[in-house]
Amino acid sequence: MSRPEDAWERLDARTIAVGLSWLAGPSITAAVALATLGATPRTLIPLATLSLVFAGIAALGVLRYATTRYRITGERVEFRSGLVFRRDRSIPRDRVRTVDATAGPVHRLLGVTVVRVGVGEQDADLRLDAVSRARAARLRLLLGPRSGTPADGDAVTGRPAWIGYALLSGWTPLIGLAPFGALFRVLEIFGLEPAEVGLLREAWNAASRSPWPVVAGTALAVVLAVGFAGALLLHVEVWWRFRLTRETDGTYRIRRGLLGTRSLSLQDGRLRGVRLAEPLPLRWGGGARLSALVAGVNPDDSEERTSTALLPPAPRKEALRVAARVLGAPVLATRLRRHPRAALRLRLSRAVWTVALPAVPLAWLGIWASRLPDGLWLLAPVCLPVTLLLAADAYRGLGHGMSGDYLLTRHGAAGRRTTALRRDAVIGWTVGRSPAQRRRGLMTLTAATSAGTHRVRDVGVGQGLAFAEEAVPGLLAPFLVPAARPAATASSASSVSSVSSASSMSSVSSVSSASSALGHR
Amino acid sequence: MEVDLRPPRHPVEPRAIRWWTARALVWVLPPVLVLALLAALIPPARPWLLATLLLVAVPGLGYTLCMPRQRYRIHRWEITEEAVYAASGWLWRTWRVAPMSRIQTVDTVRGPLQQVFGLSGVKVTTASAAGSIRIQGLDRHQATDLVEHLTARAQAVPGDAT
Repeated sequence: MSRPEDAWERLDARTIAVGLSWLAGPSITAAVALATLGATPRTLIPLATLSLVFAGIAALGVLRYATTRYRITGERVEFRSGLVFRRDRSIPRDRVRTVDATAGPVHRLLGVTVVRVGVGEQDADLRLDAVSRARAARLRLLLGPRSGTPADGDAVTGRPAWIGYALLSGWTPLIGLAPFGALFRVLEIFGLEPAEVGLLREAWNAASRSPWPVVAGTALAVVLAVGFAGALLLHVEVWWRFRLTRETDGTYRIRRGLLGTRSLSLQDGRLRGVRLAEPLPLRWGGGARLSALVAGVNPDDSEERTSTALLPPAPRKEALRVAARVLGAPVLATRLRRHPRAALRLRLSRAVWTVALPAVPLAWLGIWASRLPDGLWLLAPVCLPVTLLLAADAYRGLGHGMSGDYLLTRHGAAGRRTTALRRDAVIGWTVGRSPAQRRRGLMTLTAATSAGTHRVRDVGVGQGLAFAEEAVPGLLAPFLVPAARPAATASSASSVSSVSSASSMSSVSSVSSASSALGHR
Repeated sequence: MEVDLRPPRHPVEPRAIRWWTARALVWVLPPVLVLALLAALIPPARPWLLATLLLVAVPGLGYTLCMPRQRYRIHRWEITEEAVYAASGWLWRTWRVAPMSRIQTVDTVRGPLQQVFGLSGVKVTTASAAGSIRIQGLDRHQATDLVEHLTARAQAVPGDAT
């Protein structure tokens, strides 16, 4: 299809309909309420509010459609929007890092797609909400000079059997509670007392007659059952037909989704490493999640994290295989160096404190509030073994290492993650030491990168600094001195303070040298 | 061989101690004054209010006295040919290094309180939010010179800043 490359274009007109669609649910509820309860103030007020919102959203949609323009020229992507607050933006095409195409169920029904052109900084991203599907496919080609065809032998596809890992999601209980929360919310909006609804009243009556272990057991079973069902549905919706392909020009393309589809294209040159996440239930099942670290995408942002996923939750072995293929070497299989025993002691003492501190107010509550049982504080000693085990497990997982061009770090118990990061991606080090770390001769080393920050937690001071210097030679070296004595002793705190007071003595001379270095005052 | 970080070469302005003290007082004084006022006005609740006052005032006083001096000992900075190096914090301490080649922008930052004491801060930004370095409590003129110097250096050193 031939088309003048540099003509200004509008968004797709169907966008306005998409904007209105989310009111469909409330409208139906309101209509049902109107039909069953009749025209009372209780139903008419929400209805009037609803139509006002409806009109408002429609007007905003038309306004946005009318004022937004974009065009793609040989070198740049340009974007204009806004009526009162006009925003003109222009991005050089070679700064485009990712092109992300998302379509919710309504978008798909109407044949439109939201395209996000990522350039690195979050607020500088261009969002075209929404363009036609054919246009979105062409926008994807913005990435490379000439996007190639997929090299099909290199494709990674999701397997149906992996759906089992959906059940090991930590979100299951929350998903199970969500529908009940939503139900009570709807009742509240229409001003209904839960006791007025026959079904709920019967359930409450039945519950108050039965002994409490039965009630608790039933409630737990219902919530978990709903949670598992929800988690499975969600998994299918998000990961349906997952496909990771590498195209001939080196672009990775990730496609997935059942009702809402998502397609992400990212350039090989923007890849900074990978992260293997093993949250606790998933780890018990031998599974892991693998995601790419991409320049300009913050891996700790929950929405962006799923968008750069290189695999659905999958067997750990499969995740390692895909990681090795993406990185070009089995980097994640490298043996990691252990951290000092002091890191274990720090974790154990933290575990004790986290249960000991709440125990005091709980004991108070037990004594003061007559309705609460006196033994409430006993919860603390019951929880202690769990936190101690988690602490020990966290220490077992701690580690850092190096493999070729990549540095590795692993930490966490409930949310263990292993990160492999390109050494040349590090754009600065931060050394952090809490009072507890200073007493134990430990520190936390943080690598700042354009693909998020990555920590080596509770590493020995000498060990951590040597590692930083090994990973990025020359950056930290001018600021290192031989340690006065082995750092892992408790007396290091006093030696540190004497060093700093000695250097503040000599500070008078250094101030003058500083100002001369800067030229003049 | 065991190694350790040495403190950066230059301390901040001694006036920064007064600035930090003022900043601590901005946090500590309002609740103390309100509690004192309430204790004076409401006799029946006086023992409770005075107890709360003590609970706020004693740690507050300790914070106001210790924090600024401790910060002054820790907060230090240094610029070399290749990198910016700065230490900050008082209980939780951080040392940051950013190479010249990765510096994107250099700004001065000055809050209203800092202006009262003729102080200024320098903010060095890199492509990572966590990689940016703040040097607080410099003399205003010194900070301006530092920004000029850093901007010139960062431009002279080749690098793509990402």
